[in-house]
Amino acid sequence: MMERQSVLQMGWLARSWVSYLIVLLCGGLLALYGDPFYVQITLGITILTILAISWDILARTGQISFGTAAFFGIGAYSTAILHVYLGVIGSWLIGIILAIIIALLFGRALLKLQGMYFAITTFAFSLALPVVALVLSPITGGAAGITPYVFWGGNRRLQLLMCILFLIFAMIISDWFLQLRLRVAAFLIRSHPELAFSSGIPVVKTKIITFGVSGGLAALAGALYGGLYGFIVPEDAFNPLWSVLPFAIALLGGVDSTLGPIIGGVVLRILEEKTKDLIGSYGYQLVVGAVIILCITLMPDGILGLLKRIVRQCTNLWKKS
Amino acid sequence: MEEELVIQNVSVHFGGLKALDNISITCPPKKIIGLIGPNGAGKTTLVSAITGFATLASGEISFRGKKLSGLSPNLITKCGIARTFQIPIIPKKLNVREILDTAMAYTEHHAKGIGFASPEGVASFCRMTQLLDTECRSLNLPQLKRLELARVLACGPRIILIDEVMAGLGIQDTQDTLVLLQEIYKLSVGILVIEHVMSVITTLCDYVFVMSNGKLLTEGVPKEVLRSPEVQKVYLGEDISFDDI
Repeated sequence: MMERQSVLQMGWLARSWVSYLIVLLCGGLLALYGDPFYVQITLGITILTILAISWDILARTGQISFGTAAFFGIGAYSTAILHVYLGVIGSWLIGIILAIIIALLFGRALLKLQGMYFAITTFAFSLALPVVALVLSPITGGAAGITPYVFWGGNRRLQLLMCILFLIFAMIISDWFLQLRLRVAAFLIRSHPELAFSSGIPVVKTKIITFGVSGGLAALAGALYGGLYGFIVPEDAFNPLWSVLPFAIALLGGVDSTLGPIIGGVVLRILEEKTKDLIGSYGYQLVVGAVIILCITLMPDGILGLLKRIVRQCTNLWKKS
Repeated sequence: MEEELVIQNVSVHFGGLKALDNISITCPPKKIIGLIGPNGAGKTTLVSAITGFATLASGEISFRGKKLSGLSPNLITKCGIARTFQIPIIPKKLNVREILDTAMAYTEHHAKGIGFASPEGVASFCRMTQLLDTECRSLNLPQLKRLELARVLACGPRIILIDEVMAGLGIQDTQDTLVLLQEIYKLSVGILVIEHVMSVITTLCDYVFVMSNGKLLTEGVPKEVLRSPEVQKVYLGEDISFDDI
């Protein structure tokens, strides 16, 4: 058999390291010298962005999830519960592996579902889990909540540095799934499954694995969230907002990309804070909602898509002149 | 003679419709085999059954002694059976290189004769080198049909199942496709052709199976089969023969 020429190998890493550096620099500078208020906001952004990246990785294979909150909550709870027995690192490892296993099983069970059927089932799953957490109160603490280990004694700056590092980890995973062949394979699975099958792409395996990876990343975000504040209750850890926001952020920033969710997360949070300043804490959601609707209608490819189009137009003009 | 593709008592039902009704076919290896029959005879369903897209109600399909029934379509492609689609499935956003490269990456290289190590190799064999970086949205029908052939070749197949790859093509494009199929055959890749153009069947095929209503009507050498009264009856009605047209 003749050896086949491989098109990509590590090329993707060479292309993306700049974005990791930018995130590291911006996040790092903010963590060290930023105003405490902005440090707090950025913490929220990193966690939401990891969640949105997890949503996007899954969505690339056509699996539009409305249940990221499920794995977010599982991550928060499993690390908190296991901490007593396994210590910090052990509880994180085992907790996230547990979430991945649940995600793989759940992904396997949902294989036959598509589109809105898939979405509503994932949503139902994320709504059922807080009930489970309430019922299993001897383990989970029930409605009274549970206290996970707090990182760096609650030092927000060090926590932000840690979150930034995990965000870069999520970006690397996302970029790995975006390398040429996997991107094309995911696109075929999403839009032309028959063609994917008859090109030899392991459709079923790829779908389940992406579900597992996506679940693992969502659990990582949940574990980080628990570790920031040191206190979680079911309605907080499994809050449906953790399902809706990643969806909105990815659409706002631009799907099928790593930078899209990050841009979306930053823009959404800044928008929220600015409108809160201008309008006050009651009416601001209306404005934020309206802006999101406008953005998504006017920019179907998200902010990243718009930026790319602008860059393309500019280079065309440059070449002409 | 070594038996390559064996279809034994296969039935496929779509609700109450028996699309394939207890059909048995044994394809000899290394031949160009024709599969003909009037519309609705079950030709495409047979291709779908072989490639794992249609669930068998009964029967068994095996390829070089390996049981295929129950395997998922991507594994069957990997075994060396690649199919084209009657209506080309077009991923508009992707370009030719990406489609060929992906098909190559996920399959194994079975055919001895084909030294395709890269999308460029397949493309130049199919005479579409200049189209490599073209997005599918700007390909025309003959080019799309050509791309389907290139894609199955990129899968490194032992046998390719060609579903009406010449339908809708002009005379010159049909002629080009015929030449290309013969070149593929010379690379010792088996070919199963579904075709309505009888002149293609007679010039191309060594052997032909005729299907009607989900059953095998007859089989044999093309010229003889097309003369047989029962084949002419299912195609044309009682009183006309192919010689009259």
